[in-house]
Parts: sequence; structure tokens; C-alpha cells
Amino acid sequence: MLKLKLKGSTMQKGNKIHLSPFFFLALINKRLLSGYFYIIPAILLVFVLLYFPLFHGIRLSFFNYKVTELEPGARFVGFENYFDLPYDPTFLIALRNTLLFVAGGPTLSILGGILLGILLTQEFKLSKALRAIVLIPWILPDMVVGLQWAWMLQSQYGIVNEILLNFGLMKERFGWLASMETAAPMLLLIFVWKFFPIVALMVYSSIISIPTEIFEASVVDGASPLKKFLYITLPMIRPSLIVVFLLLSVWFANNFTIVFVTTGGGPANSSELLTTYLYKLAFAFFRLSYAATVSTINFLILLAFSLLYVYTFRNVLRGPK
Amino acid sequence: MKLTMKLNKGEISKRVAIYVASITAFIVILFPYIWTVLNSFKNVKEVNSVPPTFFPQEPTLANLLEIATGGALYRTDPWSVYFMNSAIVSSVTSLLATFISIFAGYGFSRFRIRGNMFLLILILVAMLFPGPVILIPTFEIMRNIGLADSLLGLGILYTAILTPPLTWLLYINFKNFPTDFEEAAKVDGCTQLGAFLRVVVPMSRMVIAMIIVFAFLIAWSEFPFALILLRSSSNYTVPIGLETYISEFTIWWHLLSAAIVLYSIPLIALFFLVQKTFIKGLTSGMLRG
Repeated sequence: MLKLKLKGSTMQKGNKIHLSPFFFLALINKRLLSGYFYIIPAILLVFVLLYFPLFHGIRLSFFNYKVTELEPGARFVGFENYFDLPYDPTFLIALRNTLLFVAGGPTLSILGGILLGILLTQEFKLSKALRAIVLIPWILPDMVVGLQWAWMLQSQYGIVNEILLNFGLMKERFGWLASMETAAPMLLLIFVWKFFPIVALMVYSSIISIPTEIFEASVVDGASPLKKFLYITLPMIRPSLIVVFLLLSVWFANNFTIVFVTTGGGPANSSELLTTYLYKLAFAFFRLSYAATVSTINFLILLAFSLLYVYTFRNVLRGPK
Repeated sequence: MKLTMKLNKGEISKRVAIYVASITAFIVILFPYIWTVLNSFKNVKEVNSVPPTFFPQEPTLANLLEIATGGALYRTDPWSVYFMNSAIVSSVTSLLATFISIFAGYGFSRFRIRGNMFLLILILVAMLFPGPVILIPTFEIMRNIGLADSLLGLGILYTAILTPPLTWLLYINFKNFPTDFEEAAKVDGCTQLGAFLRVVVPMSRMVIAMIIVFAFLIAWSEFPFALILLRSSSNYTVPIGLETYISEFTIWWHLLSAAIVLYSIPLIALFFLVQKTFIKGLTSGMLRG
């Protein structure tokens, strides 16, 4: 005779411990099942279409496929593709540019974003309008951002040269994206232009969530605006800035479109990123496995920043209380 | 008297500094787009003039009309086809991904599931890496299963790319949503699913609208995957249509800028509709729980 016990799944009869059949039923209870019911579609989609290709790509990097993985004669080559990387000058340029973008881009965006974010907290006639339009560079598709800047920086028809000439800052027209020295820095500035508004908004929303009493107290103590910023605002928004930096690093390392439509990695590969280089390798030079190798390196850079980003969210990840 | 003068002076110089800074900000943020809009009203001669003009000298609607009414310009398929493709793929995938993510976000925030945290971390990481990293294997896989060069394949892929960020934002939203309402509904005889669909979802409708717009924005702007998957021009989305225009020996900038204006108007309009929730949801979801 089994008696149903709601709490505790075991019943004791003398010294023997019997596991009630209800214990197993309790394991697969409704609550648990319905929990999986909610998340399974998303998990399946993400695993099949994002994680499977990711590992498939890493696998490809250990073979020597040229055009397709269906071709005969391809074999496992181990780390051979990886050993080729240091001898590939274009890869080294692309790696250098990517690292430069991943470190320099977020830094510049945050500096610009802090300045603009502080401006957004001020109340003046056009403050509402400024807050409304500030995200436009970020909303615009990469394709649009790339095209309009390519045209603005064009040497003959571009408005940037025209403005600089009119203000006497330049003597003759210059192809900003067509010169080896300026192409990569210009791209970096275009990226920063796209991303600093979102930083500004994050800074703005962090600053307005600081209790006003703190600022009032500092005014009583006679703190200057600069001191107020350095000793109150900056420490308060620092956690947000760290997250922003990680997020921006990932966005900068992931960008493909803007480089693709403005310089295409040129001139002479000087503005190549890992992302544009792997595209060329796979679809123009037909070196599929080598492209997958470059792609894996790009993923490792992303992974480092992603894991740090996940780490900053460790408290949010705890799930239901 | 002297004191107030001094104060006013400081006040005035602060005002002036703010106005100078804000005008600079307006110019930096808006100038490229304004110039593009102005260029779309210029004729072919003026757009390619040296030195360039700022305001159109002889404004014309011809470019916008040519794009809107399907100017093919040496191409077999008119722009309206690209716009239709983009609209279909973006709206279907954003709705589908939101639907899937609402359940996932709620599931993660309410149920103690084995491996919950691990799966959530995988979702969060998947929010960050999709992009050029999976470009090549995705192309291989889609080609092998015959879904390359089809809007169906692109749509499935977009739904997968959209799911992690949407799930994450909705997870944060539901986690901060008080459970009292669901408890009350359950007391009244609702099941967990019923309480979720009848109480939680309707109460989060502003956030869900924001999420749909956010998803639409990503799908509408996406370029790299469309570039590798779509081959025939009847399947092109708008960014691919724009890209093919540059590869000509000259840039058709008068038409390109008109296409850009028509391409970006839906985004800007949608964004202004849900701006407040959008900014609040985005900054809280990306920065903290």
C-alpha cells in the first residue's frame, strides 16, 4: 500500500527506504514540462542555425577545401591553415586593423558619447529635438551609412573636400578613402560616427538615474563642474561604460558592410578587416578552408569580449528567484 | 548689483557654450543624411558637378519617382521588387522571431529548468557572434540543402539571428515584471499558459511593439547574409539592389540617394513611433537587468 505524500518523495518502512512511484512522476511534473515547452523553439533555432554553422566553420578550417566541401580529393590537414596565417601579409594587415578597430573604436565612441551624453542632460530650447534625433546614425542601415560617407569623402564630388577648401584648411581635393594612409582611419571615424550616439544615450540614461541629492550635496560643498563629473558622475556610470565598451568591441569586430561598400578593403588591402578578408577568400579567391580559418580567428576575438560581456551579466543570469 | 551681473555673465557663457555644442551636435549627426536627401532632388548633371552644390539648384522629383515607379536602369527587375522582398522578409521574420522569443524570454524568467543558466548564456553569446563569423558555413549549408538564393532560406536565417537578442531583451522585461498579476490570474482559475497569454502579454504590449520594431530594423538593414545567399535579381532585397548600383563604372548617385531616402523612411518613421519605449528598453536590456 503506497500512500501519497506530497512533500518528500520517500516513505520509510522500518529500515527500508522505498522510492514512491510518485517521485518519478514528480520529476516530470507539469511545471518542468511546460518550462521546456516555452524555450524549446528558440533553443532549436539557435542551435541548428547559429551554433551548428559555427562549429561547422571551425571544422572546415582543418581541411583543404577550395570551392565547396563536396569536391573530391580534399583531406584533413590539421593546423596547416593556421600555420599559414603568419606568412600572409594581408591577414596581418586585416588582423592589425581589426584589433585597432576593436580597441580604438569603442574608446573614441565612448569619449564622444560622454560629451554628447552630458549635453543631452542639459535643458535648453532644442534639447528635446536633439534627444529625438540623436539615434539617427545608429538607426540608419550600415549600407546607407557606408554609401553616404563614401560619397561625402569622394575626392571630386564630395562635400567634405568642398567644405575644407572653403575654410582654407586644404589646398587641393583629396581622396580620403582612396589613399593608403587615410582609408583605415577614415573608416574608423565613420564607425565611430555610427556608434557614438547610442553610447551618448546610454550615458544620458545612466546620468539621469543618479539621485539628484548627490549633486545637490556637492553644490553645497562647492564642487566645480569638472570635479562633480570626475568624482560623482564618472564613478556612477562606470559600470555602464564597461558594458558599453564590451558591446561596442563586438559590434566593431563584427562589422562588414561599411568597409565592403566604402573601400572594399583597399587601396592595396590597407583597410582590410578580418571580416572583409574572409569574404574575399571564400567568394573571390576560392580558398574556402583558409577563409574558415580567418573566420575562426575572428570568432576567437569576438568570444573573448562576449565572455566578458556575459560575465558582467552574471547577476541577471541567475534566473527565477 | 555687481553680484547678479557676474552671475548672469557666467550663466550667459554657459548658455552660449551649450548652444554652440548643440548646434555642432546637430550638424555632426544630421549632415550626412540631410545631404543625401538633398542629393535625391538633384539631376544627374548637378550630382556629378565639381565643385559639389549643397542645395539643389533645379529641384526635381524625377529620381524619387523613377525608383518608386520601378525604374530598372539596365536591370531586369525594378526597384519595387526589391522593396517588396525586403518588406516581406523583414515583417514576417520580425513577427515570427518575436513570437518565438516571447515564449523563450518568459520561459527563462519563470521556470526553474535544468541547465537554465547554461542555455541562457548560450543565447546571450549567440546574440553577439552571428555575422561574418558564420558567413561561410551558412553559405555552404544553405547551398547543400538547396535554400541558397531563396527568400525562404534568408527568412529562416533572419529568424534565427533575431531570436537571441529578442529573447534577451524580453527575458529582462519579464524578469522585472511582477508575478502578482499571474498569481492572481491563477487563483481565478487560469493555467500558467493562460495567465501568460491573457495577463502578461497584453500588459507588455508596448515592450512587444518595441521589440517588433527593433527586429524589423535589424532585418531590414541586414546585408552580408543577403549578399552571399541571393543570386537572382528577382530575389534581391533593397541593400543588395543598392550594392549592385555601385559596382557600375560610375556611381549613379542621383538614383542611389533617392533609393536611400525611400529605403530609410520606413525605419525612421517606425523608430519615431516607439522611440520612448525603444530607448528605455534598449538601454536597460543592454546595460543592466
